[in-house]
Amino acid sequence: MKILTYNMMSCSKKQCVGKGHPLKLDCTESQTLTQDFQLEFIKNMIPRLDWDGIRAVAPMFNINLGDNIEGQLENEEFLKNLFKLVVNTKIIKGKLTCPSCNREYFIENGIPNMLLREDEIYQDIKE
Amino acid sequence: MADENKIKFPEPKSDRDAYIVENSHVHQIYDKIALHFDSTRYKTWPIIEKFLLELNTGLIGIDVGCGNGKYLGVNKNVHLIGSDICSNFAKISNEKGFEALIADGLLLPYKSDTFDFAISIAVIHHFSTFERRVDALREVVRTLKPGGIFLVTAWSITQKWRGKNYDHQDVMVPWLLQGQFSTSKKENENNNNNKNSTTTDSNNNSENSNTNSSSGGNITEKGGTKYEVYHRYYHLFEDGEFERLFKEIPGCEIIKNDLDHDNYNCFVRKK
Ligand SMILES: [Zn+2]
Repeated sequence: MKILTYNMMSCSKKQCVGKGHPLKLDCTESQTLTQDFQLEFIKNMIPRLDWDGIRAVAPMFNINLGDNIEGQLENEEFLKNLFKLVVNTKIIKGKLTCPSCNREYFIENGIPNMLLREDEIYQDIKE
Repeated sequence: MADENKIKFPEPKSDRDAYIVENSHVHQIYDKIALHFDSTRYKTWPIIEKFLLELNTGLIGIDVGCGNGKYLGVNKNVHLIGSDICSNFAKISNEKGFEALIADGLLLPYKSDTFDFAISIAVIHHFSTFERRVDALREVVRTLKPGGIFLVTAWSITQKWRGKNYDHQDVMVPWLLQGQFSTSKKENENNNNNKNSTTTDSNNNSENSNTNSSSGGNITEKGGTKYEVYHRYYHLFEDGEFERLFKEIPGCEIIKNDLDHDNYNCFVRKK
């Protein structure tokens, strides 16, 4: 899972819609990919990013985006760093935790498992 | 209709019943046949390919029920996130270098009002009640931005092109699993690049097989080759069906819904 994918994600639970993000990321294994920098791609994508999620994870991968993100959107060095973080960083193993309900989701072999158990899905019916 | 296409379980009376039906007659079957499915499903439909190729650079979207990921790499200039409830499909897609996660189509792990586009190809017909089909479509619409486009396709009950004739919308469709792709034979997993497979789910003829109410795995023989037979549940769509489903979902409109090669291709815009 790339950081760009992570940035769009939220807790799977219905009760967490609107508040289950950004998920807290614990990364125990990551991989650096080698996709060529695409200026147009990153520029068009920027308005779609959740900056709270980006700020939270950048230091984990030793990427310094600086304090003034809004002021650097035309700065190519900044855009290259951002591209490296969101497109060329892949989480292989780790854990995602919901900020609202604390549900943990595990990432194995690059794939987060976001499925709920049957008893979690039908929680409301039982109660 | 051939006996083998008849539903072999009671009609789901609750959402939980439906969840159990889909789990044993769709999800578990796909997990078993995933490697074989991947070796036969590499062609992309032109309508879907065209939709993806016309997207602007830098857009972000989702493929709900991505299967073996055949649409995930069509347009390299967009970020397309695949998900499937079957972990084997997520694994196959991930191994191809695509973004794939394991998630339930009814509980998508994405923020609301986020994506520029979404696709869900030949997935919605595997939900077993009207309410769950509405819920699955509503869940995709939730994750779209206002103005975002959703392309959803389903098999139609008229199967002229596939050469089948169904007289009921709820059917079981057999899959003949070649022994080499059987997950019970792990040593053969490396052969999954074989594209010479002759089976598809439309030219099956397993009348001689001893099929019963179990989810499958019975052995049948065809042309001297032994197969394991598995049946997947389908709800085949009819004219006006997408219109009825989307009528239940406020805040979106159908732009176009065409029947092509026994598939309904429905384009929806979130308002
Ligand atoms: Zn949560």
